[in-house]
Amino acid sequence: MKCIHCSTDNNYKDRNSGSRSKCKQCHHPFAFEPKTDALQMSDTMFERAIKDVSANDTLSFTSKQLWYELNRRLLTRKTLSCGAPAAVLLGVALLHCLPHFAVALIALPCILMAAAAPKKRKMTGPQLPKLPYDKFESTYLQKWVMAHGKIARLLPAVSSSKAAIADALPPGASFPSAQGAHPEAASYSFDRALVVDHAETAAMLVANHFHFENNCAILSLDGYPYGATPTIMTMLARNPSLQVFALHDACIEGCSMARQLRSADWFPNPFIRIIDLGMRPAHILKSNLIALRNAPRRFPVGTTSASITAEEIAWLEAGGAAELDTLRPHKLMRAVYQGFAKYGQAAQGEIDDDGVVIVDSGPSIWVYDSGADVYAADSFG
Amino acid sequence: MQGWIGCIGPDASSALERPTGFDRLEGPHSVVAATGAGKHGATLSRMPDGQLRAEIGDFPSSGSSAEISRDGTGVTLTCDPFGQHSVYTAHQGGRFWFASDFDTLRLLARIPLSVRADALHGYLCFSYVPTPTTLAEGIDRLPAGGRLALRLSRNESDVVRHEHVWDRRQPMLEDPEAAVCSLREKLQTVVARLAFERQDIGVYLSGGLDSSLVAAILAEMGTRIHLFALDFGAPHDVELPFARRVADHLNRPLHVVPAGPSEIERALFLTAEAMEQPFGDGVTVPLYLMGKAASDYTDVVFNGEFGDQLFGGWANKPMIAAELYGGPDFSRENAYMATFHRFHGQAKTLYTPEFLRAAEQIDAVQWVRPALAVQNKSDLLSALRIANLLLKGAQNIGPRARQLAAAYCLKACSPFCDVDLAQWTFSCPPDWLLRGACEKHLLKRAAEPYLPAEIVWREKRGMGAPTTEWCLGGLKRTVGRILHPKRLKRDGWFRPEAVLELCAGRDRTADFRSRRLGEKIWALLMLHVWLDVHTGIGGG
Repeated sequence: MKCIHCSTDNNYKDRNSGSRSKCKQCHHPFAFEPKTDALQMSDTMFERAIKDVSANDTLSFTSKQLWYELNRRLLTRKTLSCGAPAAVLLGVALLHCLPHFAVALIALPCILMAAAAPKKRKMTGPQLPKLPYDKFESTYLQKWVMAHGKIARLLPAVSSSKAAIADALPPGASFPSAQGAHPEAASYSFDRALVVDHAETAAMLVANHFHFENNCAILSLDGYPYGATPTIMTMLARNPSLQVFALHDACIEGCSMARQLRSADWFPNPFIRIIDLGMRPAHILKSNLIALRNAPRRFPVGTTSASITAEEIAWLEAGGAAELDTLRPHKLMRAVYQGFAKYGQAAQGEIDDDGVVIVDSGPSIWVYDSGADVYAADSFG
Repeated sequence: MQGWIGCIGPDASSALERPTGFDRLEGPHSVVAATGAGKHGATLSRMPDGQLRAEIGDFPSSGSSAEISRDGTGVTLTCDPFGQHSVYTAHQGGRFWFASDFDTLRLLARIPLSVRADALHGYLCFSYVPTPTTLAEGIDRLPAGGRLALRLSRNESDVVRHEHVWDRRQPMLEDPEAAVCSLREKLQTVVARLAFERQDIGVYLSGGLDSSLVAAILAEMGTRIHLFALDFGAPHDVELPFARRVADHLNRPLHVVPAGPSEIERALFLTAEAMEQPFGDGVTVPLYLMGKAASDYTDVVFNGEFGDQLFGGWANKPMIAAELYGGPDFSRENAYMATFHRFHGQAKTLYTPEFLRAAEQIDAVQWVRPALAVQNKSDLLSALRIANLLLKGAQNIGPRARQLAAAYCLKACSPFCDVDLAQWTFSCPPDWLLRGACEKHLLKRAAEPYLPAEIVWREKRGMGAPTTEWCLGGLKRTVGRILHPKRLKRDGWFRPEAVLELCAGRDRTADFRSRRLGEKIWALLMLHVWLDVHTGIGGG
């Protein structure tokens, strides 16, 4: 196993010569011992997952996104091909059949190498995670932090950052609103609002400047950005052509979220467009994303949208669900950006009975990447 | 070439020999020369008090000048606040040189060109070379709206910027309806002055509000206008239908200028030749192509440049979003740096260790800090507008428009670049300009009688050049040739593998918009093409 700090290759004996598993060269401790770990987790694998989820340490991510990234690796880990034994048999047969021994001598190793080369498993359709989240958090993440320190781009859990803000406030004070902002900033508005179901997702988008790139207010159903929410909502009310985009998990509550945003607490004005960006079961069913399996339950009466298909309802009611965190930050932001652009381009889309616009009910913006930007409102400054 | 050059100091007269095509005036220890007279060129004069004066452009909104004292020991240099005209300066051979054109100064003062690390780093952060630097070691540029007074005998120099031009004025206007009428009158006056007695006038039409309004005012004055619009080819021609709509509304034919990869490739080096300093925006070559097309019909082209900067355009909105979500550690300067979308903060990925060491000594924020800091006492939108005027406007848009038009002996007229008009906008309450989420609200109100509502009130799209599609598609081979690893290795500024990654379509910084990738490649491409053309040090 290679040390991630000095790249020295350490065999099992080298790294376990002392009381604690560490590199023979730089003496940096290893977080994991793949020989004894049930999932054969290695430091290299964990580090690669961090690099991939953070796009080479350029984007912030949630702990769940890292968990999904590790699961993606575990599910697609390279395995020794089962074609190896077959290839050996084929090689022996060749030796007997071929008239020219020399030809067989060249052909045999080639066949063996090709057949025995490790193959990446292909995921076909949504998969279930191999490593449970609580085990990841309590064991693997902790071990990593103990051995290598804090992960720079890993966002703190929102509940703890909320607590941190509260700790800094004088007793009895409420959460600050738009701290540090010039007071005049609150007298303007945003082009659009993006409402997500979880504060963690909202905080991740803000940490990656999604609001800045798209002149977009970011809010969550569970309260983000806390003390600044009333200010942001007042600002949004100043835009008569506001577009509200709902972004949610593919789950029963998520698929009802756009309707919920029509309530008096959010955007009851029927002239304000609410656009459902997904994720929906349709986005998952044709993908190889990692999904979850919950206990089966029924859609609460009157919450299904006309635009949701029977197949999607059946999948959700059977306990199927998928979280936005299953996507890397880069992929998620690109999907949302393309959703904005697609809506701007079509300016219509499918409209369901509740006046909610469905953008791209197919999986394209979530699964495939067209590569080219769709031109949308943008800064050319 | 149109412009002036001068020199003060010992044997100035012999140091600046009469260049071909230049007129020349001499004084004690001083000399000044000018060329291009007759067609938007420079003029020379000896003042009644004995001072020598050279100037180009239409002061005070567009132009640069040099005034040499009677005894030849001092010079005063000025340039307009919109950066349309420049003043370059250098100390060389015990003399002080100054010119309105970069190459003229470099060649006639015989200044060997070596690339300045700080200017190069600045270019990579902003896609233009920030003042007061130029890409050449030993040559400086006066900031827009600047005034430099130098006394050679005392070896003193004093640079003063006319900050007062963009101060928020008091008292503020109170009647928005009166302001709309007043703005219409002001725009009509400026356009009429710039178009004075000209019959054939070209207008660069983007399909957006600013250029459409300029075209409409010209049309109403009865001027014979020729409209030009770019065609980036499907699916990137999203603005063209709006330009056609404006042309139909004004009942004028529209000249559609093809700007596909093949046209861009043919004009790449010619565009770089026309630029005094490199400009790394994708729209640069298309603007050159428009100038070429317009030169068949006219020698004056109008544009809508500076409309966004003056009237609170879209670019202010992300800054407001950043303020609100910034939290206690928010830095307006850092947020502003992020609006340039180039290589700021990515030096470790792109630069070689040697260049990185040099770049780490340079605080790129120094170039935006004064523009943002000056107005701390003022309101937020005014502060942002001033920064946009001084940085994105006067250091990029203004000089670029003038230089590219001059390549075809065209005079670029930007009605929004008017000192009185600009000052007047600072007496408007900020929410007249940015109302809720509606940018340029006051200008839109003023434009209503001139243009169809679908042009006035439509969502901003802008003139976005599809640089990613060019660089990864039609221009891929050209990009690969100009940004060849061997050349990059020889120059020693950029890690060839990092540039190769970009050119292969992989952006390690993972911008979720692919257009950002093209913008970065384009900035590198234009830098190297410019170096090839102006210095011959490149191997492209």
